Amino acid sequence: MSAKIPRNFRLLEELEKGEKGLGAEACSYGLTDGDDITMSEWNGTILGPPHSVHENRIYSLKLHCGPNYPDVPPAVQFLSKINLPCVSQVDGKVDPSKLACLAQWRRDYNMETVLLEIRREMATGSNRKLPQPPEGTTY
Amino acid sequence: MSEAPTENSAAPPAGDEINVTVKSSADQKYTVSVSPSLLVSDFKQLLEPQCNIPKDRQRLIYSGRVLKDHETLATYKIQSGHTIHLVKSAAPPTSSAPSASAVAQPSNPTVPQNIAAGQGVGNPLAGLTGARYAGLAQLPSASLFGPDGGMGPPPSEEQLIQAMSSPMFQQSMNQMLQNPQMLDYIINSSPNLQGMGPQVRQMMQSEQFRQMMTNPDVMRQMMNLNRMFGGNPFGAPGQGNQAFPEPGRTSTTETSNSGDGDTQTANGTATGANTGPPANPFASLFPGGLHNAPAAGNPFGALFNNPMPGAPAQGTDGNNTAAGGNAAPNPLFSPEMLSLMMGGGAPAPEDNRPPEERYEAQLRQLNELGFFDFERNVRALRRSGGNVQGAVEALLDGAV
Repeated sequence: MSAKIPRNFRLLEELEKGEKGLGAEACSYGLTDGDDITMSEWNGTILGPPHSVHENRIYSLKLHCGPNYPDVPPAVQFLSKINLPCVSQVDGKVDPSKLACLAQWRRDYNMETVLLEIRREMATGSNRKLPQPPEGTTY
Repeated sequence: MSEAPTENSAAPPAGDEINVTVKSSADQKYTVSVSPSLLVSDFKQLLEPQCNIPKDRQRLIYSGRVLKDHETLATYKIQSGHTIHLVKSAAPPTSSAPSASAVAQPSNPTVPQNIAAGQGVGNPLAGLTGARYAGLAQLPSASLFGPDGGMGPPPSEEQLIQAMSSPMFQQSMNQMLQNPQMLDYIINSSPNLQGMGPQVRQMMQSEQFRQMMTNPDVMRQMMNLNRMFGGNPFGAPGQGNQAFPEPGRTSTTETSNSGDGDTQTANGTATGANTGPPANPFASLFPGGLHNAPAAGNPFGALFNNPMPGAPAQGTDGNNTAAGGNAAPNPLFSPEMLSLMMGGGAPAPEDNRPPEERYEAQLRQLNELGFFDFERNVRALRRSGGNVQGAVEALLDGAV
């Protein structure tokens, strides 16, 4: 149990999960470039949670898993414009200090954790009513 | 993965077909055998009979990407055994979910969206004032709002401050101040600002001003100062301690009280020009204080009249709501003032307004919580002094 799963094994596992759709339905992720042997650049989508302004919207994100992933969290950046407290309005970057799962990153978290946490953030009481930029606009 | 053999292979029997699983909501799963060279749009066509979703309402997601109609499946390197997510998009006439961008398009409606606030045609602020903007557009029906279209009583100062510190407010404020049309409107609607010339525009667009507008500390300081002077926060006198004219109120309902308002605005005009006035940074910006100016005369009045999305929720903590609901007519002796001096919890002066007016916000909250008995609600609110939480407890206890 004490053996740490190396970065690439972890990422391959996540890749398979993403491609085969084994994870949660509300989000999806995969390598930006399937030939990227470092498996650093990832795409992600979040399906807007129901009963919120995000309902029926699909948000695209970019995730960067650095060489030290999963010891350090991935860098997350929205490609679709979104109005959310933890997301920079300038470039769509998610502020790690404002998202609990990034601020208190644990090694057993993965990209799906992050995407689902962001999605949950969208659905919280105050955030689910925030006015949003038109769908389809990007940073 | 379900290794079900493909039963519905409508694709051309070309060479190396792949089996992809399409997962749609409600746990429906289809396995389709297709050629990777198939266009995404054709693929959607193929799915149509299976999932009963029209082609143009299907959205396909694979590996974190939304598939584009004009690409082929091969573009996305979809391989056999992989899964594509299918999401049904909203119906084409998407009237729901108003976006923030609508604010920046004053040209849309020619019908005033908010008659209650006295906003006229072509007023770019009109869109800001309605319940729609407060994010309540998706509530079941308009009848949930009061006769004033969901405006409610003006928020208390604390609510204002909290609302102003919300990112949504800051965003809309930024958007507004970046929009030259908006600035023109604000400036034109106020003789004071007109008189100040081009500096006003510069000032409003300056980063400093924006920060000031959105900094709760500045607001609080300013409100305190104003209270000491017996005025009210935004330089609009004659409204009791309410920061802004009530939506339904017209000039005839006011008793004249323009004396200190004039000096206040004059003072503001003098200091407002150099952006960082120490005393009352806002007096010049909210020149609603001229002789019983109607709501429209105060460019920001309409904005603040609107119960911000954050405000009703914050109201549930009781104290704010109590202060806001028991507005006393005497600005010098406002409940806030009293509670300030006495360390909070001071009883409000006699309020002889009818309960439905006095507890309007609280009653609406109780309705939203599922308490529909008006008489009981009012009794409970009376018991709790306007505190919604207390009222709910009383209602649940059956004490009223």
